[in-house]
Amino acid sequence: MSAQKNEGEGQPQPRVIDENTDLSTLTDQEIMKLMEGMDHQDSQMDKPLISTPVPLSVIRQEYEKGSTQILKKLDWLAENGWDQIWRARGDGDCFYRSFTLAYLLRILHSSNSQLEANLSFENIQKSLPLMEQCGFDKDLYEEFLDPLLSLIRGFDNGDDEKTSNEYGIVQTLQNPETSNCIVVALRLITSSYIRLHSETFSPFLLSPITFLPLSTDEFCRSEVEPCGKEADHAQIMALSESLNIGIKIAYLDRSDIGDETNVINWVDFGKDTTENAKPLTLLYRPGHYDVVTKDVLPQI
Amino acid sequence: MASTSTRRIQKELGDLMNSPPEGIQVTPDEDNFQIWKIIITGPPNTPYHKGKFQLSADFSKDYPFKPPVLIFKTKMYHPNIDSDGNLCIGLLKTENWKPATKMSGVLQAIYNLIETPNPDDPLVSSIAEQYTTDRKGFDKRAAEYTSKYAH
Repeated sequence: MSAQKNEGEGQPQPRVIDENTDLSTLTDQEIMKLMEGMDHQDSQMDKPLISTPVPLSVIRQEYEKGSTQILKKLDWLAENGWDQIWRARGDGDCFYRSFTLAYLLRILHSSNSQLEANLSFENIQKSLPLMEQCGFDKDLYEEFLDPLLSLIRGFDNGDDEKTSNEYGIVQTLQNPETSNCIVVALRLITSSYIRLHSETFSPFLLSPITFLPLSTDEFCRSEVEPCGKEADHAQIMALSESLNIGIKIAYLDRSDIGDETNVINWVDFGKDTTENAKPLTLLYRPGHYDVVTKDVLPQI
Repeated sequence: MASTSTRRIQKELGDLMNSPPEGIQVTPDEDNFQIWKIIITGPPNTPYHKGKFQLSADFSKDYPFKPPVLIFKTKMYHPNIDSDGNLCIGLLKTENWKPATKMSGVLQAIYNLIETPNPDDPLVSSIAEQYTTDRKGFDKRAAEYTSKYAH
């Protein structure tokens, strides 16, 4: 609660609440107001589904008057080379869209893209029987998965414009149909993994509104499968394990600052998140995910 | 180029026309296969028995990422269907809609809703109240509507 002191003093008029606001500081009135506004997120709908990278300094400007903890964390990211943010639209699918971009960038920047593409392709193939086991319709999930698989196959050919560079990938993922298909496919993969590992996940399956426990089926039906539902730890863990890919998420919130080597709090998902395994790296601000990367120089 | 939306609608339409579920008949609009005409035959042992209830299904270009809009064209006396033909069913609400839900499942759920109204989540609360407190009166009224509008 001490975090509130920084900006809580002498603030009679309503403050601006956006993706940078620490949710733990919201008052009941503010939550009510936000819930009312949920149907009117039109401003978000003008933004691209996923953007080309902006420098981290752009994000920093948004926080200049904000909490010092957040600024320290941002400065630490910048000092350590995490200087690019690829923004996802804040429509509730931002985790899955960020995941997709980071996943494809990882293949692009691998020292052996073809090999990495083949491994990724195989890992995704392994999720097909799980979806079938959960009773999802084969024709449907294959159709949703097809855009992602064909993009990954593009790396194999090497001359596919869509996957030949960062710009091509972003442009492809800005197409709503492609992006939405991939979001649905990832949601189905996540859902099947949670359903088939119910024992592991059930203690963590809570309603994000009431915080009451949900059954595995309820959770998957209401929080995973519909589009626009935010991903939380359970979904991220499931997707990371299912596709056998490490994910590191930098939490840009007002939690206490870590030690000097890691001022920002990174939360790791998946078996291997060491630097060698090239985990996906995302930036989390309460209620929103973007991709954060170190600038990769083109290979000559 | 066939988009996800048109491919999906065509496929589902084909499936439903080839093997129609019990009591449900689907035909596409002659000019626009993104609009369907659906006829549901009232389930046995209900006041809707043998009535022919017409519905329209309208698929936006965002289908299957957004739910289709289903409207009853035949007047019905039912707690979850209002006089404009709007129906209240969880799986068609935008926030609950799952792109992997098939139309056969949607139509089955509507059939089940006709068979077993859900007075706890009503669209017309007066009908819901009558359904719970005066089932006989409800059945009579619903049967009157059926013979007047659905034959």
